[in-house]
Parts: sequence; structure tokens; C-alpha cells
Amino acid sequence: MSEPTSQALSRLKQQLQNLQTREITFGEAAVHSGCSALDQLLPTAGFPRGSLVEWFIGSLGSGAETLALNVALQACSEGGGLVVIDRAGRFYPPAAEAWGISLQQLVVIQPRNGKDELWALDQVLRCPGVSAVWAPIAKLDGRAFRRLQLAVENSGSLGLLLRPERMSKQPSWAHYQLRVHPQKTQPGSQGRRVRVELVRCRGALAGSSVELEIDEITGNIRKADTECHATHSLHLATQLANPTPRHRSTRA
Amino acid sequence: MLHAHQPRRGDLVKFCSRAAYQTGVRPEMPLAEAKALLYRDYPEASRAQTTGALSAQSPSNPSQQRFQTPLLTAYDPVADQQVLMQLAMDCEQYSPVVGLETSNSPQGLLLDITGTAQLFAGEQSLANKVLTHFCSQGYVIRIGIADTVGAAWAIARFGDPDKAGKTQLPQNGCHVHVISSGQATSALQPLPIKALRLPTETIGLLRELGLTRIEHLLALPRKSLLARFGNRLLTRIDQALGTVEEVIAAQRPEVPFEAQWPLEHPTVKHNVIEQVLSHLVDHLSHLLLDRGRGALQIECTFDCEKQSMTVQVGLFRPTVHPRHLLDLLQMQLDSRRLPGPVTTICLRVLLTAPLEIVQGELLPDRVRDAPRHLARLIDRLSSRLGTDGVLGVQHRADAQPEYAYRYVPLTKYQNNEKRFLNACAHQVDTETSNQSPDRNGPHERPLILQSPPARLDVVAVVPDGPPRLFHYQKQRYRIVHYWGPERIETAWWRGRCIRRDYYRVETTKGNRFWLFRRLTDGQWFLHGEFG
Repeated sequence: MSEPTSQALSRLKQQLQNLQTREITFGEAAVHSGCSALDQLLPTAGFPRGSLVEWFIGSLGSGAETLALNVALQACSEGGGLVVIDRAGRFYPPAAEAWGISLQQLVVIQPRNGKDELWALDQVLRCPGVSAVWAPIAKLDGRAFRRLQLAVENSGSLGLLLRPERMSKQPSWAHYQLRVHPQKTQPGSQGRRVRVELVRCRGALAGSSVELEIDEITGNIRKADTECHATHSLHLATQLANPTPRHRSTRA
Repeated sequence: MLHAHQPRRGDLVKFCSRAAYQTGVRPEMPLAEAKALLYRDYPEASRAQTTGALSAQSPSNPSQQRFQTPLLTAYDPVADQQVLMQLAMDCEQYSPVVGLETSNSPQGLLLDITGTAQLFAGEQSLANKVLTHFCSQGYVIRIGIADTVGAAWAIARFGDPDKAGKTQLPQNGCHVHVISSGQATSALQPLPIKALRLPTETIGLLRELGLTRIEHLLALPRKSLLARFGNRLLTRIDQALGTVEEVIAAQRPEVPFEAQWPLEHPTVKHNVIEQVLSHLVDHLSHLLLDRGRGALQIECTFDCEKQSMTVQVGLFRPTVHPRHLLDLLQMQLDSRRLPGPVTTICLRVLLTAPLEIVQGELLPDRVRDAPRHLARLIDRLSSRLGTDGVLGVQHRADAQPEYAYRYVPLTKYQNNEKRFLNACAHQVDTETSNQSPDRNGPHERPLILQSPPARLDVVAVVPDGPPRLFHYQKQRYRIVHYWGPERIETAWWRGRCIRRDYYRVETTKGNRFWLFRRLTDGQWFLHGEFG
């Protein structure tokens, strides 16, 4: 009996994925991003352990760091450490704690120079005890990048590299590349909006994007334009704690 | 006279000599009062430095009763403890089991002389030898010999000097009391209840009830003592009388973990040095493992012809793994340059801690093995980046955002290890993991903090709100939404007072920043980005 078309297409798609991606199985499900809409952008419905994810920061205050931190939070929920490599000394731990990161699981590395930074990133990505690495890093040459890719594939941790937009044109060994653009807050909305674009991913169509809403009161991330449920019990309290944004008048 | 500071009562006298006692100084007396008494009798002391002048009472001049200039210094319990431990080591020539008395600040030594007295021609002779040994060093001691630790302790401290045994070298203040076997009860009865090593509150209570001597307690029924004062009183009585056994915990000196290798020919060849280091590390690892201890800090000294070079390695977790220790040392060595051909290599373990015994597992488990891998990672990172490059985070209750946390080097403080590794070994409930009571909401603080805050070029200012336009990093930003102000002020006793009005702002393109206006001069700053 001939195979149904839909089944054949699924089988061929899986074969194509297997050929294009290196099979990295650590016997565990992929790490969810914290938002089902973002997971749907990815062929594996999440970020498999042993992956390098590049987040391109469209502009300052775009929300890329927050989204990456949420992924790290999901990765560390089953144990293991979260390592932040902060050469510039700009990472603010109390904000990470507010987003749900346990300070007792957090290690902050402050290298003195670029060479130490790269070495530390390599060491951390090689360590099986590290669940996620959150690292703003600008310069990465091809050889170093390849080494990081192999390191993370062997250890099973999750590398979240935050990179300036200008680096998006450079060759990359990351398994996933995402670009985050800030969006204007809509009137009456509970959170900030960002648009996440899948720049590159093996086994998936590049260019797809999704608009997300980050609820800054609860920390939930959902697809934008989702209805606000009546059971949102913090609604009244959030209004008291977070006054309605005052729109600036454009009239003099 | 030694003084110590107490938080509520200030500086008090902790200990005083006999001469100071004769002037009226008493322990627990306020220091100012004690000084007044001393200076009344020693007017020259008020002109002399209080911690510099010393005139020891020499036992060879028992007639010398007064100090030329009294010595007043702060009580150092750590130094006292170290000297006492050294004296305990000295006493091993008289007994194989020497320990310190069990108290928070031990003042005496306990020697088990069972079977050793005949080696010294009897207990009295042994006591005389010990007396001579200590008196020659300037100590005034009291010796008590009895069947039990409790009885010996009691008679040594509270025995009547007039009933003390005769010594070969009668010393002022030195006494030897011997309780014959089976005579403990009769010897202890006239002693005060303090001789039973009871807590201060129990002694106070007993005194209120009119029970001042041990014979009073022995006359009472045991059941009533147990009901009124608990088990501890009866235990002390039984220990003194020998009904309950009390063991002396022998004080053993810490065996130094040290190994050295003199090279026959001075060399700069790295392969030779690495091989020698490997031997030394293996040797020390075996020594540590035999004693159930792991290294926390190791030091390697390379003696070269003209000068020496020392490298130190700190570890996050006590370890004896030779490969790991060797890797850390080699990493340090690779980053340094030897000053010349090496003649001797010396490896020392400066700090150790008990090793944690973990049951080995057949199958690997990522979460279970995470602490072990993390500990090694932290060691490697600290070895190259320095202890201040690998940091843990602690929350601080401070309104000023820059001081709301602090970084703590992970390899410097042992307490960090357990807390961090326990957190990593368990699944963390992301809903309840954060326990800081004054934790901010996710929207209130930016993930990226500018340090120091960046001064802003403001285009327009509205009297009751944030600026309309600002320039930052050669970009122009127009604000469409803002939230705030959130006023942050620091307490006046902190020194320089911080008064800021913070705003969270969103620009036309959706970028979010954290700005503040300094209330002292109205200057605007950008403090963070909600990245």
C-alpha cells in the first residue's frame, strides 16, 4: 500500500533534518524558550542541549538579552549552573533575579581581556555541569567559533551568545541565529513587544518571525495580540503598581 | 591585664594578674575603672604606652611583687589557643594522650597518666616534673591528679592551697593536689558547685536555692535534681565521681602536607619540571587521601639560583585528584616566567578540608554529576583569571541600585561552595527559587546597568516628567511612553546622600531605557537598558 502523502512528507522532512543537522541527543527533550510561539519557529520546538544560539541585538534596549535569559532560566530549571561571561561589567544580577534566576546557581565570570574571555567561554561551554551560558560577545573569529560549537556539542550545555547586529554578516557556526527588534508598546497592553526573526537555522526556513509580548509584571512571554484572560489575578494590582503609561502629547 | 570588647558593655577586663588583683582590679570590671585603679598605684603607667611596656614577673624573683609598668593589651583568644595547643604538644613527653579542656575558651590541659606515673617514679614525682617544666617558662600552674577528668579539673582549680601537696620547687601560686583512688567523693564535697563545670545560669539558680557546695548537691535525691535542673547537672556529678566515663580528646598537631624535590642539576626544561611536579602532586595526594582531607589551597615554590618564584592555587572544593591539581599548577606556571634555572621544587598544601565521600555510580547523570564538573570548572577558571574573576552573587538590601548586590569570589570563601553546589544539584522551582523579600518585579530593573551612569544631553525638559528627546551614543531618541517616577533616596548616615527620580522610558522604536534625574542639580543620566 502506498504511503499517505502527509506521512511521506513528514518522513522526508525528518530525513532532511537528520542529514542537515548533527544528531545531538543527550536523552533529553529540547529546552523550551519560555514561549510556545517562539518554540514553533524552531524545527525542534525548542533549543536542543548542545546548541549554540546567536541573538543579534537590533538596537539598544531591544529585549534580546531578556529573551536569552528566559531560555537560560528554562535550561537551568532541572539543575546545573548558569554562567554569565561579563567582560564589560554591565550585567545586573538583581534584574536577573527578578526574572527568576536563582543567584545561588549563578556564576559571573569577569575576564580582563578578549583572550581570557574567549578562553573562559570555551572552558565553560565544555563543562557538562553548566546548563546554560549567557555571554555578550562581539568579536569571534571563525576558528574560535568552530571550537565553541564543538565544545558545546560535546558537553550538552546551551550557549546563548548576544552579539551586535553588525556581526550578523560574518560567518557563523551557531546552530540557531535569531534577531530581536524592539516594537512600540500598544495602548492598553500589559507588556513590551518585540519581534523575533529566525535568521538562520538548520532544517528550517529562514526569515520567519513572530511578534511577542513580554509581560513585565509576571514575566510571561506570549505571542502578541493574544487575548488577556480574565483570570489574570494580578491585573488590578498591576495597575496600582504600574501606572498606566502616560502618552506624551505631540501637541505643544 | 587583658581586656576584651563586649557590644553592650564596652571594654571590660578579661584577665588580670595577681599584682593587678591586689590593686582592686577584677575580671569583668570596666576597663576605665581598672585603669584608674592601676594608675593610682602605678602613676608612671599613665605616662607610658599601654601596650609597649612589659615587665614579666620572674619566678626566680618571688619577692618582686609589683610591675614596673603594667601591661594592658587586648585579649586574643586565637593566640591563646595556639599557645595552649603548643603546650599540649610539649606535654606529650609526660603522657600519650593530651587534650584541651572542653570549653569555649580552654584554659587548661588534660593529661591521661594511666600507666605512665610509674615511669616517673610515682604521681607526685610526675607532678613535680610537669611543674618544673612550666615554671621554667614563667607559667603559674595548678595540678590536680584524680581518677576522673571532672575530679582532677575540680581539685586543680578549687582545691584549697593550704591542703596542697608539697612540691620540690615551691612556686608562688603553684599547687599540686592529689586525690587518692576511691577518695573522689570526700575530696570533692567541700568544693564549690562551680567545680562541676556547670553553666553560669545553673550555678546562679543553685546559689539562689542555697546550694553552694558539692556536698549540698550530693545530699539531695537525684530525681529531684533531674526534675529541677535536667540531665546536665547529674551528668557532671557522675563524671566527677566516675560513674559516667569521660574521655580526653587527644590534641594532635596538624601534619604538614609538604613535599620537596631538590634537582641534581639546575634546569629550565619544562618537561623535567612538569615531571617533578607530577611526582610531588602524586605524593601529596596520597598523603591527603590517607588522612581523608582534600586540598583547598596549594603553594609551589621554585627555588632558582638567584631568587625564588611562588605560585598559589586556590580550589573551590577540597580535592585530591592529582591530574586536576597538576593541571591547575601547570596553568599557573605557563603564565609565569621562571627567574632562572630551578634547583629545588617545594610543594605545600596550605589549607585543607575534610573530603566528601560520594558513592560512585555506574551510569552518568548530568544533574547529579553537575556539582563535580562545576567545581573543577571554577578551579580552572580561577586559576587563570584569578580569584576575583570568578564570582558568585549575593543580594544586599540597599536602595541604591549599584549596591543592591555584591560579587563574592567563589574560591575565597568556603561557605559559598555548599550553597552553590546544592543549588546546582537540585531542580530549581523557578516560581519560588528567589527568596529575597524585597525582590523587584521583572519590569523594574534593567538587565544591563551602565556603570557609572551616563550623563545625558537633554533637548527638552518637561517640569514634571522625563525629557522629550535625548542623545545617547550618537543616537537621538524620542520618548513616547514613560513610567515613574520612582524616587530612590539613601539614608543620611550612609555618607553621601543619593536622591534620584527614576523613569522607565520607551522610545518611538520601542527601545527601553532606565533614566534618572539627580535631584540635587537636575542633571539627567542614563543608568540602564532593558535589554
